[in-house]
Amino acid sequence: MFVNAWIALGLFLFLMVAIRFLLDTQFLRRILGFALLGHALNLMLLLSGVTGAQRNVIGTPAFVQAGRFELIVDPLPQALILTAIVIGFAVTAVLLIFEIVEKE
Amino acid sequence: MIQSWNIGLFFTLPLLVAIFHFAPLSTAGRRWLNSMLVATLSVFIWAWSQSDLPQLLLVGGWPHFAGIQWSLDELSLVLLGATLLVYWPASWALSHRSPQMNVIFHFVLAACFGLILSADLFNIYVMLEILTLASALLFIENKSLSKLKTYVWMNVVGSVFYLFAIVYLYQNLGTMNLIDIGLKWNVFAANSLLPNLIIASLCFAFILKAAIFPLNIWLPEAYALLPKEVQPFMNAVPTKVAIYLMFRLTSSVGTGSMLQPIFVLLGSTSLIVGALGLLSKKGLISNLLYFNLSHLGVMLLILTLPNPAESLLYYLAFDILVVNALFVLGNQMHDSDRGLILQGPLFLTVVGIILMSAIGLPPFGGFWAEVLVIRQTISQPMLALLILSLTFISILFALRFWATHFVGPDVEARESTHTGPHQRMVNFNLIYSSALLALFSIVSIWTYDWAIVWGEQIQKPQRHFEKILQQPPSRAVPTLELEEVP
Amino acid sequence: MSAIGSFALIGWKLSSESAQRSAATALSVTIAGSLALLLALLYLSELRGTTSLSVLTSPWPEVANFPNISLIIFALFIAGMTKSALFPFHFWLPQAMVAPTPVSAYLHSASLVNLGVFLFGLFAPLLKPLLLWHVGLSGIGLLTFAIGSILALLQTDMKKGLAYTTLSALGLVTTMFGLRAESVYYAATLLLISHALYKSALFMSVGILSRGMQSQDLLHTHSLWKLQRSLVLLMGVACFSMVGLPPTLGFVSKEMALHFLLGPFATANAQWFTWICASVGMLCTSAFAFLLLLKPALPSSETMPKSFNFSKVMQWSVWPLPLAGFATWGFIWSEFWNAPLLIWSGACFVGGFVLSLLLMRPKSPWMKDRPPWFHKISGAKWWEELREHSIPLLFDRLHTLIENQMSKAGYPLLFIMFAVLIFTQTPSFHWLWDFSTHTDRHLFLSIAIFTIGILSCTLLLIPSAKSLIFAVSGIGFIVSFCYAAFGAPDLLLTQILVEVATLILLIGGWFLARPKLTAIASSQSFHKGILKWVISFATAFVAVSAFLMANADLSLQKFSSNFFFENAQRAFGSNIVNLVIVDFRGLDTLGEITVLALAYFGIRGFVSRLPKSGDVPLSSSHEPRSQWTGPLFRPIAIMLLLFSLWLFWRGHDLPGGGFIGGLMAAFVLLSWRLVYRRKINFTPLAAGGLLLAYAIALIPLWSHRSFFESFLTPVGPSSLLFDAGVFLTVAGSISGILDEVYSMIFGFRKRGEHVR
Repeated sequence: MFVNAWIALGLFLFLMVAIRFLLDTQFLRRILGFALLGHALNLMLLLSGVTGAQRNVIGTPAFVQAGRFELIVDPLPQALILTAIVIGFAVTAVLLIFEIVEKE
Repeated sequence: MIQSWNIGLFFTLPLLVAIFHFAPLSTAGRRWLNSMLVATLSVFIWAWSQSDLPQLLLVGGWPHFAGIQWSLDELSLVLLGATLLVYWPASWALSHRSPQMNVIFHFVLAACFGLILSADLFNIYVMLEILTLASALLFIENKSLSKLKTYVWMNVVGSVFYLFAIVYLYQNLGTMNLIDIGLKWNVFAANSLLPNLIIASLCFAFILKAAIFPLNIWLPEAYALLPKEVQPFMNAVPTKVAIYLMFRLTSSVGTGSMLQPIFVLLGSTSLIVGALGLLSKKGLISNLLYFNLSHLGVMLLILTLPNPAESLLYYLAFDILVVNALFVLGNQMHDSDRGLILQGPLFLTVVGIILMSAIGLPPFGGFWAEVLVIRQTISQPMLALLILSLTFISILFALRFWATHFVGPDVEARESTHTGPHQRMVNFNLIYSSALLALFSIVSIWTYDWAIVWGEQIQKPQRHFEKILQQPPSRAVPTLELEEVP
Repeated sequence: MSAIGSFALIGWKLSSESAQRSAATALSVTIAGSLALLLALLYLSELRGTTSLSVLTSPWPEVANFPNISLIIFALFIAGMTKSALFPFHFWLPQAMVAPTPVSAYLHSASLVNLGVFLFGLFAPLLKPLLLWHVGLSGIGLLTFAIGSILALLQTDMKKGLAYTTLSALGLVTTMFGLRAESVYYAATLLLISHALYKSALFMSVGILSRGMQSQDLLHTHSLWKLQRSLVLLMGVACFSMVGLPPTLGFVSKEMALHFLLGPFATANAQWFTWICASVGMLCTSAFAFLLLLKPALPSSETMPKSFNFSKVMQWSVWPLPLAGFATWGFIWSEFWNAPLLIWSGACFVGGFVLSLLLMRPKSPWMKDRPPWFHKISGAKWWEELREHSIPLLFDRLHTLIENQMSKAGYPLLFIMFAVLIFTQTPSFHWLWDFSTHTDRHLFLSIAIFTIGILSCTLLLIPSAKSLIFAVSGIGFIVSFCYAAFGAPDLLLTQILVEVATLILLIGGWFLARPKLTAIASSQSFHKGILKWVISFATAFVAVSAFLMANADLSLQKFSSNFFFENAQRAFGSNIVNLVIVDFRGLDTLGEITVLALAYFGIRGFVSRLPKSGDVPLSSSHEPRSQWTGPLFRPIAIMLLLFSLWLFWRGHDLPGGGFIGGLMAAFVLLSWRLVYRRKINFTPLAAGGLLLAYAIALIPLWSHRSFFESFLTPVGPSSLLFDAGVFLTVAGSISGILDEVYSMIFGFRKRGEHVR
């Protein structure tokens, strides 16, 4: 597998803090927790696309000029992450507006 | 005449109509627009029912691996039809209100259609997000937002768990495609400990959307506050679509396996809690919400049977129509109405049809749906007993409903004093909904035997595998190695 | 359906609450029986593989081997007992007597209540060998026979008394079906026929009597012999049939029944039981019959009614019923005449006569009006109480309890607990973790992610909200660095831009919600805090260990080997990530921009609901621009806009694309709005972008291509136009969202004002 101990530890701490924020009573922390969780998931999605053969090509962006699949990183998860980023932003905005508007 | 690309219209046409609703149309104009949409889509549904199912659409023509696939088979067709039928009166009533509501409602419809048709898990994720946001935005004209916040937060966290599942899925299987996952699942399950986790995580999101106990807390509070025009549709459709998605998932991967006991547990608890709420004294709409919950429990129990598809074929459509009709009725009545038997024979017939269908009495559709379910429970009679006790409690509910609102001492009082004109309760929506139920009863009697045959076929994922292999090889389709699917 | 018809008829009097209640009782009990019948029938048909009734009810030796057969038998029992009002489900029938008399005569004595015993008769051939059937049915039948007749004696309402005797007769029939002799069917059929005849005659005559005497109560009827001898004769014939006197059909049927009943016994206890029940039943039935006959006929000390108002025609129409009993008497078997039984039944008859005379003495307790508690204790009242009060109350309490518990728990906590429960489906065996040891290629990535982990821990220590927002955005920028280290330039650009947008959004939101933030006390019980930490730890642990457990050496290779390279030409591009976004998985992108636009529309809608009063107080010295801002900004804005367009244009072959260009353009538009205070309507931008995207998905259909297929246009590939739609939507939505927030802050418009 590709993930080494540092990455695993970093992800674990990140996830733990994000979920803790998500459970908080303050709405701002909740929203921030949701944003952090989104980031963590995106990172995990990124790392999930790496099979054994591709661990040596980290850092090579995916362009057709590379010629072979073994020479690039997997582009499919990147597209999924992009979608997830934008959707996450939209949802964060909506949640924030609920808080602002509710004060009235 | 019918090509597979027509499947894509189901998603894009409502979206287009949604944008058109931004224009300053009159009420009649909006109604005309919505009716055109219904007419077009129903033509397609009819055409598909005559053609060879299952249909498979490769969106954009991109072949299997990174392309998105949509599929259509008998179950999807039935669900599409039921959704469309229930959508029409809701949109008709909604055309009175602000353009924003119309726009958002069409986004909801498009999302529901997309969920029914899509066979790609990430696509389903995006559709779920559209559905969540659009349903949340239906509350725009509400006074208080606290219930709405609960609703949105719970759905959002559910989507997060869904994303977790996608991460693990892609990591281990390399694909998002439901059909493809079905192909690879057996090898995966034999070699890894993760399959249960993935399925559990996906089902968690679906259970949340379907408002099964104990994750149903968002539904009764929020959905009671919906605007009245969309309340029947929103209570009927999105939850059933979530159950449908769960069925697709469990039938693709072969079995529910580890999740069987959880489904049984959750289904039974939902049924019981729903029955409890059905007889409580909180008011008609609240009772109906719990009625919905109990039926959702029944559907979850159906998923644990050996052949869920044949029951789901009827039960999903039946439930959509019945919940829709019940909520239309509930919106017409107030809790303080009494002596309604004086409303006239039309109203009584309509109410009679609705109530008897809801309970599950023959010859109405609910009965046939129940029969198909109970037939399969022969090795687990507890399920049958649960479902029958639910029917019995529904009867008690209907009797109490009848006794409170329809007959009783007030009947004499109203007859004798002739106080004022009776408010006419019957409106078009009510007649239409009960006519749908009557029609469904007739159709279900007629197609009873076919349902069993279709059910067996829908269960088998091999049908879709064959369709994939039939795709024209002109594009660079990598050859699929078919694993041995038992 | 017959249950519903009977329901409607019983509830004929719409305004009488008691009538409605009795009707509801009848319906609920009989429908419960129907449901049980449904279950039994479905299981039996599944078992034997057929739905043909004649096959289902034929004898089948293996039926005893089926494990759930007792369930089926119980279901059939319940079905029959509820429908025929056998003990203990007998309570609905007397209540149902509020129906009009002809209805009672037909339905509730002759046809409807026979359905239950008919059911027993149907399935008797199949289930006779089973002990449960034999014992259960005979026991229930005999009990009903005895208890029904006793209860009949206690009644003063004539119709109710008749109802009780009906169900006792049905009990006798039921017993027949439980016996194992071969010809019990003849006895049962004869019993049913004779019962139908005499009971309907009795009901009709009781109806005539009560109409004529203006009272349904037996105690108040008298002197009928003087007034209407024909009626007394009519009732006499019917009563004799009920008792079982020789010339009538009732006699024949009773003798046959007794012959089978008092035949071979299984145990000595069964013998005693049968004798007692049969004797009691026969005795009380004959007593009741004589009471019914003699009491109205004889004169009493009360004043005589003036006349008997009832038409003779009605009376003559009832006569055929008992007479038919005589006519069929000719076709009987003489072999069933058994001397000891005749003597015994004769003794019962005489005993009943004596009993009735005893009860009719003027001073006997039977002749007094029933005390009020008599009418209160009845099974029906108990059931109605249960149905109307106890069950709903219980349900209500349980339901409220559950709801309170659920809402107290707080949704996120409940949520995560449930999720952890599901996650525990998969144990995380740490020895299955598979770490890699390579560090050369992914040094930067590892450092970056680890830094993120450490930094997120420090987030916990930041008290102030504004710093928290900046810290989180900082983490977002480090995430974008991770993307860069990984080799994902599109992601890098998107992440940076979105992070900036989020930062702007959150700072604006913080500003607006500041009073609310400070108002929230951060008090939280310590235990709850611990629980939340445990949940976070557990979920994170399981998630990461599941991540580590993936086995990359499986032969589940992705099919992606050549997919992208082979299809890139048809997609007319070389930036594969962008190809995936707008071509291969264009539908996802379509949905995504829909979500974004939806968010904008919704936010607009919500903000416009705000009342017009209440502006965020802003000190007048807070001016967002200086003298130079205006002139300087214009060329910068135009350059940035061109830059964003260039980013968008080159997306298909180089890093860039609709999202990145759109985000840049969004910032430009927002700053334009804020600097120049000019109203820009973002809705058409967003809606137009959506429209373009949807159109691109549908246009290929015109030229007979597939849905959402890419084609070449003069401008470029169709995916470029789609990307343009994405560009417009993203630009419009994001600038719109930020504009809503900042207009509130800067007081460009009062809350509640539309920008249209």
